[in-house]
Amino acid sequence: MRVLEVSGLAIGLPGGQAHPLVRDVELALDAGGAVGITGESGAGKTLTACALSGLLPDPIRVLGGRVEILGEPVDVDDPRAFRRRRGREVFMVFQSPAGALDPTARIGGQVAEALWAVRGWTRADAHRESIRLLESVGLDGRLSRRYPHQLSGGQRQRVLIAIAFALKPRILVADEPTSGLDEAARRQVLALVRELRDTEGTAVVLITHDLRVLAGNVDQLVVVHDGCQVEAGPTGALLRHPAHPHTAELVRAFRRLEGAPP
Amino acid sequence: MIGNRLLIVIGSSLMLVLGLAALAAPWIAPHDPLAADPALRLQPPSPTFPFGTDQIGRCVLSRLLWGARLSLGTAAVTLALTTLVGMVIGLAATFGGRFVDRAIGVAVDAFLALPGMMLTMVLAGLAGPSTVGVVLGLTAASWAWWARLVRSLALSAREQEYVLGARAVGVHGPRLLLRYILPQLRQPLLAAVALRAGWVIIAISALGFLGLGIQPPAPEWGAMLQEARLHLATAPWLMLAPGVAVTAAVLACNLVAEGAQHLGERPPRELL
Repeated sequence: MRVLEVSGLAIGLPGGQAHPLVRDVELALDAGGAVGITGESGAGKTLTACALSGLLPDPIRVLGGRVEILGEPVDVDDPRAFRRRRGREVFMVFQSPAGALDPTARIGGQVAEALWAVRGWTRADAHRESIRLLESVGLDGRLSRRYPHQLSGGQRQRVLIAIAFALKPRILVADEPTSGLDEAARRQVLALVRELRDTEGTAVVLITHDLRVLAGNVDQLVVVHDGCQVEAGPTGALLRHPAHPHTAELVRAFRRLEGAPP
Repeated sequence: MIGNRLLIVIGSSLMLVLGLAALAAPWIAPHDPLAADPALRLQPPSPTFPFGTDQIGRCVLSRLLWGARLSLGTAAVTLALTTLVGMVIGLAATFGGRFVDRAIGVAVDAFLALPGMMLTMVLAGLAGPSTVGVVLGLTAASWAWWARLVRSLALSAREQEYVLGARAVGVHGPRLLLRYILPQLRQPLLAAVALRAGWVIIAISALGFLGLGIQPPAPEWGAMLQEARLHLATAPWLMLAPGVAVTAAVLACNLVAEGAQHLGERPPRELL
């Protein structure tokens, strides 16, 4: 089932139709599928992610294009149109898990909040379930009494994944979910995202500059350069035979990092 | 440099003393604040009348203590009302959409362009010289300041990453406001209340002094100053008592405000 369809998405400042910050983004995503958006810093990856959950920073607006969520067109110009969709339909995980968690609340309560404030559970059930969810992402249930600053970066990212499991969103938009994590933590987070896709049928938009994260984890790849989508296609083919010079450059850089011959 | 905590302790102790004096006025005032005895007019301080008597023979200390109720009570009510009005309007500007924000912005600009004290005088005059008139006049004159403050605080609170995170989870409406936005406003607003309290106390006294505020024979401090003015040369204690009281109240508020403003700004330990 098609859960997300984006065509001709343009993002920019109001009145800046002539110079959009992001333009021509095309995405199509089925339930349980995964698409990766990659490109260098400042290419417009994060703006695209924010637009998909109606959380663009003021005064940036969606200037044009069509977004369909679960087959329903969404008024992209109106950030309020996303209000009832956020959480249940689209859940965006921000770049820094340290900033995205409330520093004044215990993590168990934050997982539980997703259940009772968004999904309508009773508070008691939500609190019981929150401990089970934290354990299911590999965290000790006793950590639920801790505050975010008492956790490591990898643990915080797993708390966010636990929130994603609580919400069971149809679409998960993850912006650099593995940045700042070590190899082991990165693998764990990616495995959990994969589990969410397999068990809940959540479609995933994975945004990262790191091709290592995308290879093997997303079926489709979109390359953005300077705010413009320059190439899109199946991940394997695109990485093997990049057509656009910018993609080729990214792939070369990736091979160098991996230590493989270019 | 005096520590911020010390400033707060000194300021709030002073506030506490004044507040207790106001609350306990009926029991600790030696005389009826309104009972006049022309035979005892303009007496200098003495054991019977510690702060002397005024031009119609009323006990100045008793008037001062009862006046604390009026002056400080009116200030407290005014502050509560202006903060409330400013919060509602400021939050409406933040969350009510662009049109509401523009409209409120224009009104705020217009009100802030007028000199506050003059506006207060006109509005209090229009509302009629009374306690209610003072409260309404001051509220009408200073809501704009509060609305602008609350708007700017709420805007920056809303852009906190964890608030964005909560919105991404799907938290919205009253819960977003109560759990994620308002707690961030608490400390700066308390500092602002303390800062504005001094101004409000002075404004109430000034209105009383000008005859636009709380009316004689009620023992309001500003009105007492006005009455004392005529006897400055012969009975300086008449002016001294309410003058010191107003100064002490304003000083207490300003000390707390000064301390509270900088409380969160302690330099990180590694810089010490």
